[in-house]
Amino acid sequence: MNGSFRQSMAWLHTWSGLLVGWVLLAMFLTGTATYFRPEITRWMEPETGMPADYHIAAAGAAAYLSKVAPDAKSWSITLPNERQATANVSWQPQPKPGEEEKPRRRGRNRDTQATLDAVTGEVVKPRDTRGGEFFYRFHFQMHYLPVIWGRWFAGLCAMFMLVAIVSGVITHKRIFKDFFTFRPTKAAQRSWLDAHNMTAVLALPFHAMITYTGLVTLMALYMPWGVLANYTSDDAYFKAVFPRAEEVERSGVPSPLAPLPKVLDEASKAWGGGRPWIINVSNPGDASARIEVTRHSGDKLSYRGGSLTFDANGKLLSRSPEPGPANVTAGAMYGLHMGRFAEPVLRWVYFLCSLAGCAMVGTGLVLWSVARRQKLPDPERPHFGFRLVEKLNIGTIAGVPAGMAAMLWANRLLPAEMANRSPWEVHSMFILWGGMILYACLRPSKKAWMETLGLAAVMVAALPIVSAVTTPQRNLFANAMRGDWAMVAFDLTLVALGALLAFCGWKAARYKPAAKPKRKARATAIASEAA
Amino acid sequence: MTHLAMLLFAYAGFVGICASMAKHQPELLGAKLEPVRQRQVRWGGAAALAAAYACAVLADGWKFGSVEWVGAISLAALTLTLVAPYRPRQAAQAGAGAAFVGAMLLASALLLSVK
Repeated sequence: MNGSFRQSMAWLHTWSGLLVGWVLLAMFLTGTATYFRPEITRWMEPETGMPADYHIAAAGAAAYLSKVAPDAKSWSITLPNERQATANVSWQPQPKPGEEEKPRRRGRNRDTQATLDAVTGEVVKPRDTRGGEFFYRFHFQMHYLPVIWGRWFAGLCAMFMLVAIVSGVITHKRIFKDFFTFRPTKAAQRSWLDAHNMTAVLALPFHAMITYTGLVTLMALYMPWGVLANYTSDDAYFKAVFPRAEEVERSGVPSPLAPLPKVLDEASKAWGGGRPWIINVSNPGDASARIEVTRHSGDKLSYRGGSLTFDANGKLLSRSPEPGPANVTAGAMYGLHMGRFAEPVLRWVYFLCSLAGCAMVGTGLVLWSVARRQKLPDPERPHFGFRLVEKLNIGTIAGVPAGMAAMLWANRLLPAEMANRSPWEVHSMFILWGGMILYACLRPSKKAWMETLGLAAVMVAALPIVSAVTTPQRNLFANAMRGDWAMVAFDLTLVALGALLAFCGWKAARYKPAAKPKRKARATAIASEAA
Repeated sequence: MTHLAMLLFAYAGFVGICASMAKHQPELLGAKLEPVRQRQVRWGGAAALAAAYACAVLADGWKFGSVEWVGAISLAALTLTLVAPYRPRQAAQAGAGAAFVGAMLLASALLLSVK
């Protein structure tokens, strides 16, 4: 291949990776955590119990809703499953006469929703928290920004990532020769480059897939022209992509609703053993009631599982139409990205590959400064750009994990009745992240690396203790006695991640920047390869 | 069980492929291999990776199985590359062990499914 072409790709790789690298790291870390979104939510809602089968919750939800909202326009019930310990119910009141019908909003309206325990089917009141949902939302729409801007920004960063991946593969001279090469004891620059190559190349299928499918999940936002050209309105497009049962006029003839657990069994049978996920009931309590059961998104590779519609007596009326090829393709890409179908083994594979992705971004950022330090005219007094990158590296690589841990700390330590409790949980993450960057600016770099990573390690690893002290029902031993292995694994994983951060801190403490290289020719050769 | 067999085969496969590369042979095996032997080791490694794919498909069908396999071989390669610089000989020996245990697991899973 032409040398100058490779060089221009190396330039592109360096700068596309660096420019948004810190945001990418935050997106990658929160995205990684999102593979355990239901578990994080369960950890952050210690008032809730164990995951359970959906039958009791469905019956409980029907009983609860017919008590509080017997004449609602519609009910919605998200069922619990083997990972989720609650059923979330919400309802839409009848629009008052003369009042314009408001479009349905995803936002939380506390008056028209409730959380039910999966085991008892009774109402529970967990503390005010956004749970794992926050990491999920942040990783594609940021925070403190209007949602649409955040999504555009996340998309821009993902596009940079895709550019960095493609140009990185072109730049890498010996992708197969160095496939298994990792020389941790060699000079700093050599081993950082090895580590960057290793985490990037060996999990390349994952990185490429996750970046590309991530962009695809928001393609209708980034590239709306196909939709604009073929559909008269956004509504028409959404109707085509997510077909819903026809709305039926209320007949005025009261009729009891078929028992939901039985309807769910019917649905499961119709899907050949598939799991139900969401129930929408329109016109409950009326003879014209319709029960729409949506299939669990993890049953198929494609994220869109389809739905079934039953009448008030529980008779199957219709199935959602088979999705077309484009819809199946989009659904499969979405499904691949989310990994909702992944049973425990595969979920851990996803999680670990994703951690490798975080390591790839992190090592890439560090490599930028390691590769440049030796070339500085005076390494003791680097120029502003170098210092900026280095401080942002420290503040972000240690600060984001510490910030995520801070959110979990806040979840346990903020008083339950505090106003704006869940926003403050979120603020604590950004306060700590920002604080780490500021701290890094005030300390010499090496000390800053050690101290910030050390603090992050302690904050992550101490979470099981914080949890055990503040919520005794959620200590490691109580979890194990209850057979709540997901929460046991959660605590142990936190300790392991803390140990990993501590290891990084220890590495940073032992790191000695190479003295002015004697064999200058060789150093420059390595540097040009790394750049 | 087949999931574990898949992970073990994936690891064994990459040990084979790594050991067939001349630059890694001194550390992993203590000596260079003859060209014929080298080719055998490489094909053995490729066969183990194929066996890992078979396990994945057996466990979860070709759709989910393919996803699983790609993930499993990524992790296997990462594990080997992380361990090899510190404990090269043991990493190579573990590869042979992994292939053996993987084969036993796969065989017993097949026997159980026939019954």
